[in-house]
Amino acid sequence: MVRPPTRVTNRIKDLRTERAVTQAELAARLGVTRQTVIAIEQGRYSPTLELAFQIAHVFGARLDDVFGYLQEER
Amino acid sequence: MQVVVAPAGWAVYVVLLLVRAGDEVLVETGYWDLVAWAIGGAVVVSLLATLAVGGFDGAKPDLRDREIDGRAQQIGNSLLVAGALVAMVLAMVDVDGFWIANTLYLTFVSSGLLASIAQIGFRRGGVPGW
Repeated sequence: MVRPPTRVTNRIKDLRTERAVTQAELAARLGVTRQTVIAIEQGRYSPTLELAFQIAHVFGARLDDVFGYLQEER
Repeated sequence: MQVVVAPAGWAVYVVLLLVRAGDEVLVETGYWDLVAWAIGGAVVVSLLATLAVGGFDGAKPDLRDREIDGRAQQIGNSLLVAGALVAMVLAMVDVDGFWIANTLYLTFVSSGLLASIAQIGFRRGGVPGW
């Protein structure tokens, strides 16, 4: 099985849907491109810690309410 | 854009060089003006093509763009180092300057191409963690 580029998971799409925020609006608030928001949502890009905090702040949530981490299977 | 223009420029250069050489010995064929035109032409075509597709629309690259560019450049540079080593060995064993110059030109083209392919891969498949 191909390993995804990042093990960081997120609930950004769910939170956006709940709060009716579009990808373009979120990107504008974060100062990144919409492609970056899409890549983070799809787990193709692991955001920096600073950007992760900014995303959590936009949704008024705690960092671990937005992001998770898949532990290595033993 | 580099993924198409630089290799195309190199291919045109090789064809023109072979045509110019004809039945003569390849290493005795004048090549520096063709290299200069091929590199200059590739730069101009790249700029015009970027303008044509709206590449200079003022959109600032964000941190992901910069990370992808850096990673891709790093991969391309590995080929640049390998090509430079080959050119150095050729110089050490007194190979004709024609081959050294052409090795370096091919190295520039292929390292740029590899960096562009890596960039496309990172954009589509994702950016792996360090």
